[in-house]
Amino acid sequence: MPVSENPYLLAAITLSPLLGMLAMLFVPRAQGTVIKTLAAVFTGIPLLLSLLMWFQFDRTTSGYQFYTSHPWVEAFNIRFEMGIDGLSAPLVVLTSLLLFLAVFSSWNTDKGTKGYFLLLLLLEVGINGVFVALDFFLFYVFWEVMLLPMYFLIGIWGGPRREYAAIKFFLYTLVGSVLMLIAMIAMYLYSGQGGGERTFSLMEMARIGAADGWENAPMFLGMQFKHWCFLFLFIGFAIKIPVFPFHTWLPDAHVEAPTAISVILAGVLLKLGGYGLLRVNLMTFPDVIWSAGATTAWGTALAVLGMINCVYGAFVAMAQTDFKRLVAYSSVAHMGFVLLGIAAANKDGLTGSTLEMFNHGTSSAMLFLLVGVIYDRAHHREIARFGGLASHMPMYTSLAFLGIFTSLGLPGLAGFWGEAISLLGCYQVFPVITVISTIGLIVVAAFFLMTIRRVFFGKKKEEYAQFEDLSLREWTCLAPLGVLCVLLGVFPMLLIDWLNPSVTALANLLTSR
Amino acid sequence: MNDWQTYLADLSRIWPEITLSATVLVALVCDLLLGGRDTRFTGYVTLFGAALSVYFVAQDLAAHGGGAGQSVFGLMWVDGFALYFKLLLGLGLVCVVLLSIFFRGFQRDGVGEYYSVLSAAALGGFFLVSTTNLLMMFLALQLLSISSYVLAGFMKRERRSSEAAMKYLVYGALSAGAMLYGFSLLYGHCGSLELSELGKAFARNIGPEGETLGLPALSVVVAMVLVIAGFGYKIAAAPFHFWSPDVYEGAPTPVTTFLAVVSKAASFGMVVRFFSAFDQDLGTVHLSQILAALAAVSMTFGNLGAMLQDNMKRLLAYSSIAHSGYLLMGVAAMVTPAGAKGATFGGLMMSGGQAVSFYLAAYLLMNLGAFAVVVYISNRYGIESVDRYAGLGWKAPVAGAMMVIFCASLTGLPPTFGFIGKWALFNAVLEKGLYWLAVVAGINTVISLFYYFRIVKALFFRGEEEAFPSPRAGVPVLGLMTLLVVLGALNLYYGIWFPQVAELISRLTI
Repeated sequence: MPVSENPYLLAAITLSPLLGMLAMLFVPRAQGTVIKTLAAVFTGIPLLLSLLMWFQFDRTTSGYQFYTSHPWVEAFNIRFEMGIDGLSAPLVVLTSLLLFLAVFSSWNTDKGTKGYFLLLLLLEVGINGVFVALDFFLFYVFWEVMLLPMYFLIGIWGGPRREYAAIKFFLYTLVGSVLMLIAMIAMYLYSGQGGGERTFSLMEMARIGAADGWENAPMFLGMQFKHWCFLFLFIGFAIKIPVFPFHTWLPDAHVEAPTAISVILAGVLLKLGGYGLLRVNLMTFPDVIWSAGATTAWGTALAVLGMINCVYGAFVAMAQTDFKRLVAYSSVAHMGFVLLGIAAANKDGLTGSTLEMFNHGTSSAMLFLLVGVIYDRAHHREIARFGGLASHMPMYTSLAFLGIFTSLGLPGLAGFWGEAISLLGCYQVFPVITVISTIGLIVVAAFFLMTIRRVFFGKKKEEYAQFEDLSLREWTCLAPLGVLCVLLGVFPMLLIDWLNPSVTALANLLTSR
Repeated sequence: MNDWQTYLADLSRIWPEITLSATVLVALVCDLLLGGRDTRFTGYVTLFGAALSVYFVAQDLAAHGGGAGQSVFGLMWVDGFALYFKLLLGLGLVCVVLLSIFFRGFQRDGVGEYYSVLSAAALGGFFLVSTTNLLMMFLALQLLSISSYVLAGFMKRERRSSEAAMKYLVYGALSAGAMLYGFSLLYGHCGSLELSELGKAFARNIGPEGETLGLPALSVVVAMVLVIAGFGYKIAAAPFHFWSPDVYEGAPTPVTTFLAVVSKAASFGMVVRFFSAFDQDLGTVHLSQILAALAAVSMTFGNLGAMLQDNMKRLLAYSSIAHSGYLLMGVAAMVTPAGAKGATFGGLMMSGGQAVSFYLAAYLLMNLGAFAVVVYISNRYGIESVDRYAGLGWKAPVAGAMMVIFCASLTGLPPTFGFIGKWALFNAVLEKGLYWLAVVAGINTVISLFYYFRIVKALFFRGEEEAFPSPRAGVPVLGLMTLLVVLGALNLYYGIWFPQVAELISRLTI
């Protein structure tokens, strides 16, 4: 049952950047510093509020907390319904943190400053909104709100092929959104079948799912209603994750996007897909991937896709010559572990994938920031053209090692736990698939080590001799993430404790089928 | 009561129409008195008339709700549906008159009569959405159409404008003939011009005198196909759309706006009225399948066609063909009997007709906005081509930002009104089990994103350094800018807060 303390906190976290936008509209275009300060303040407010939420969060319950529900459109029973549990709470904190850092990371933006920061604030509204929404309609609105700012941020402030990357990102995501919309309306229309009022509430839909309520819905082309909905929703979320073969927008978007936007894209936007799978697919249709005490063909398909992501993503990353593209493809490989954990549908698997989502959020954000740092100085990202940076930029190198080792899953750093636990979970259900997926793990380690050798060691190059080490601004962005990588590596229970009740509840729901 | 008392009582129910008729005459006289010198003054007079009729409609709607309504002379119905549509048409007319006042293209020729003809066309629209009588329907449609032919050719010195009018006329005459023939066949079969009688006759296969009709399948099919062809022409649905890109491009932009918005809304009012009488599927005539196919073809063709366009008005013409397709989804849902294809979703939440009404409100706001931006840019910079918009968003940030809202709305992205409208249509078709149509519409939404955002891309993604004609001096922008911002704000407002509209729609008895 929802715990209802402080019902306005989530709305405040989500909507406070809108006030910043409003204030910013009245600042003249030329006042760059004022605009940036406003952006810092209004991404700082959600960060403070989400930390407040973090400390008030009740670790002992699996129910929704900070729950709030107001009528929005009564004619269709659409509600302004928000709440968080262990699955979404860490991601809200992550989003608020990364958006705050993104403001500092893009402090030097001088082209269309006002538009840039306006869009950044709008982006934050969309992302946080998705994580806290418990009404599917509201969820969908926030999901789409996020698209437009992202499109502009890539398309206006991006690299040379930005127009192509922006529209590709937009088209791919919209395909998924439209399928999600169709599934959402079908679920809404059918939700009143049991005699109750039709509803968009994800809690109500989960209740229907838990009571086998979708069983009698009409079949279509010989496939059951729940399977169609699961499929449509899965494609919608899979494009965001991104799951092979829907991943091709990702490298383009990452390479063209400015650094701060890559950070947000890898850090939180990809997590929306994984979160959506957990929140909507698994909770509403628990018996699609796990039924009668065993995994179903759907579950196996998910695991196979996860495996392809791990192995294929890793090998493709290995072949990259562009540093940023390499990091982008490593994200594809990492998100494969998230998918493996979800496919396993047991407690370990789900814990692993939620951990991996958070930890990949910090480590990949760090890596993209690091790539940005070197790109700002060298104006290229060709791995082969670097060399010997360790001796010119010692502080940069040490932080880069931290980021890279977290990302490749070195024990003792945060990245290890997510991958290890999700593989542990997956092994109990899909031993063969798990073993094959570990190839990905090895390849990830291999290409990251090769990158370290080629970029930071080797022959010193004179052209990089005068590069300055990290500036204070860059330290500000990197340090919090570095601390998180180490802290959560040594004390993973800090995070697992928060996740545990919700993940256990979801795992019980799934495996009891 | 005496005859004349009844007559007067009936007359008092149609104040909006009376006001518009008066506007037609006053605008004409006004122009005569001014000798065509100050067309702007005539414009303001028309604006007043249009606003007054909107006021009467709004008052009636508030008093009436969405009730069944009253008959006027046995030819018109003043019910919630008619009032709602008249509200849309009236507001559309107000915006078109405003655009005409601001439009620079008119300022060379003295075109005072223009406002008179424009009001007459809107009057035709008012009658069109009110009537349930086939004869009256045809007359109202002709009032709307013939006025539109004249409007399309109003820029006498422009070849394209005259060509557009000619094309429009030839196609229009042909389709009017087809439709009239269809009506006459229907009358021949059922012995009545009243839609409700027709519906009953079809449902029970019994004529008004109680005789068994034994409707011959083939001629019913022929009649229906002819009627649908006539309607298809009027709403510019593929494959009856061939006139529309040329006419939209050639006509003066405010007239294009009128055709795309007011004329289309009125025609959809008629289409919904007509098909609402046939909610039972007519055994042999699978109306729902025909309409669903028409919807799918129209949206696909419109969207694919729009991808190739460079001229903004042509692009919006094809976009409007696609939107006719979306709207036809609602009409198809309306005539699909419940439970036809395993659709057992329970009680109806929003009927197809209501969804169409809902979407039209969004359609009106977003298209008016998009055309207003076209007028704004062509006034200031004299450009109508998408490619030459490059970088313009940085020069005219407000108009550019508003265009982003309108494009998002046209694509159907939340949080804009366009999304809410599209959601209503998806709701209607899924409820009736037309799953494939929903998927086709979904694919089309993605296609449409590509060309709507080509405009956005041109406006903002290109550098500020692109070469431009500098803005023309002495063009007043404040009025047009205000209109733009109001329309943009409404698109956002109703995208986030639409309970009132939903409430209003849910009371319409269609």
